[in-house]
Amino acid sequence: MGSLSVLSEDQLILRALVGRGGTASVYEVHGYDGGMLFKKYDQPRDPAGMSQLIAIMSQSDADVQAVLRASLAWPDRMVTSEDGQLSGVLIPKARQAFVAHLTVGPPRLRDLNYLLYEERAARVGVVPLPLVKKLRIVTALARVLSLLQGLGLVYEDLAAQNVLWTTDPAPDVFLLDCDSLRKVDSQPGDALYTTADWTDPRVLSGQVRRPDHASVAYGLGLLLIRTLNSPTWHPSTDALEGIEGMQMVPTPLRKILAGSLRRQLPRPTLERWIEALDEAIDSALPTEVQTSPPRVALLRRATLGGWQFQTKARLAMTIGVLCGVAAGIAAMLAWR
Amino acid sequence: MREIGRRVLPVYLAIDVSGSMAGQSLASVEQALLQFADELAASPILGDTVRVAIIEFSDYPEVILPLSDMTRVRAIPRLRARGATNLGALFVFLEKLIRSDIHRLRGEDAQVFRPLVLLLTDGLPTDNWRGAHESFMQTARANLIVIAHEDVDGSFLEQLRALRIYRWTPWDGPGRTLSNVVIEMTQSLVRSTVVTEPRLPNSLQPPGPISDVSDEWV
Repeated sequence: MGSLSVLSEDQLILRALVGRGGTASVYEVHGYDGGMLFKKYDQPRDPAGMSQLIAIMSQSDADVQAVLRASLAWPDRMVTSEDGQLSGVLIPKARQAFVAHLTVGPPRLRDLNYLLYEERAARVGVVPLPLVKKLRIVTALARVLSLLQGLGLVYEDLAAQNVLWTTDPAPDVFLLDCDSLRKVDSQPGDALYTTADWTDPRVLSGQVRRPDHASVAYGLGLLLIRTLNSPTWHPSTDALEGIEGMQMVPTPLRKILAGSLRRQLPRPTLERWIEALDEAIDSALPTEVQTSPPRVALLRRATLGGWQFQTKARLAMTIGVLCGVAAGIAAMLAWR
Repeated sequence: MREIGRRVLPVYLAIDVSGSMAGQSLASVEQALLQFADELAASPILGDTVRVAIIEFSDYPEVILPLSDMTRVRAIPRLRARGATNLGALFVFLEKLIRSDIHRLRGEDAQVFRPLVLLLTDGLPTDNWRGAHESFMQTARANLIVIAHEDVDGSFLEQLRALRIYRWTPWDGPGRTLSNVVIEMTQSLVRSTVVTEPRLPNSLQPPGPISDVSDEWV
């Protein structure tokens, strides 16, 4: 472990517990109010993977670093216990834009479950999103995943509770759980943690040991269908069954969705996903405008009326000028 | 509300309302119930999955909230202190209640997680409870979690064969412990779990994360 990227746990003064996951607890840390949290593992971890992640960040150019910092809880520094084992990491806090202020309880991270269960979310103050905004959120996620893929990484636990979203000022996402990041060609010794209902069937059946790029396409497909099928979707709904009866999926996405949710390979690439999402957003935009017929009709009539008025006015003015000129000429002739 | 196609985790909160629980103890439990309802409302996936029944017991058990979507309940019924601690009657009642609820849920095509029974008590039972307990453990197929006052005899608690046992002190009050336990248990439904390690049958699992508990079907 490089000394610059390592802190001793003794150096940290922990404050409030802010979250609890399946394998770690997250604390605020005194002196890091600017936005760092301490993720403390229940069991010591293999530091190799974490070292790689910290190195990837430091070796990336400034633009990539900025995107990674804005889009993921990327590990900033490793923290070791007294015996030198990796006991946790410092991770950046999600921006305030990713925090939901609900009508009950304290503020919470706004994860994708608030889109999946939008009727329930609406009851606590999270306003349901229109189709285009949902698609833009999924597109933002696909772009982050694609960037990770370009860095040779795979995000192993793609699931609703690990993806935060916002629409302020623009649709955007923030991925939690940096421990889900792994070099796609590595075979880590740590156990694989994934979420029930979100795991690639190839992993569950043992065809592959760890999630790979195709697993990410599968997860993205689940996120899309489950987001668009809200609030009627429930975890027991078979994904493919859902597509057949689902009107909410824009046409450009249906094929890629079916391809991603296959139990076997091949599955579409993230590049293909992004193209299809962009196409779907373009096709959905006019559809959404048409969902407000009175406003469109008024706008159209007003616009049409405006043009007609301007044409008539110009014509009247021209006639008036011509009449004036003719009258003037006639008056001059009469005066003579 | 019908549960067609849903996954449902039935949670039974069995609250000891014997005379010794009167006053601050029951007040803190009521506060915990409100907090739990808020937690379920704030987490849409938990609200969608967890169904809660509240049973108070003393001389006899009584359902004060049938198995419900707690986020849609307008008011949580008040708890009333009275009588002794008849645990046998509670286990007989719970066995029947759970069987009836699961039958109904299955009839609605819901997928039912193994029920969770949280038993909160501050004293030893005043009846002969062992036979009813044995029958409950064999047929209800529920996971029993016990939250007991710190003074309750440990050997009695061991005989309950609970998956986990928590203690509460007069300083903390039972409500705080109940709130922490029930929120911790139900939140495990949405946490990541290990998929690459072989899983032991529940009966062989050491007391551990609730994922061992809830990730099972009945």
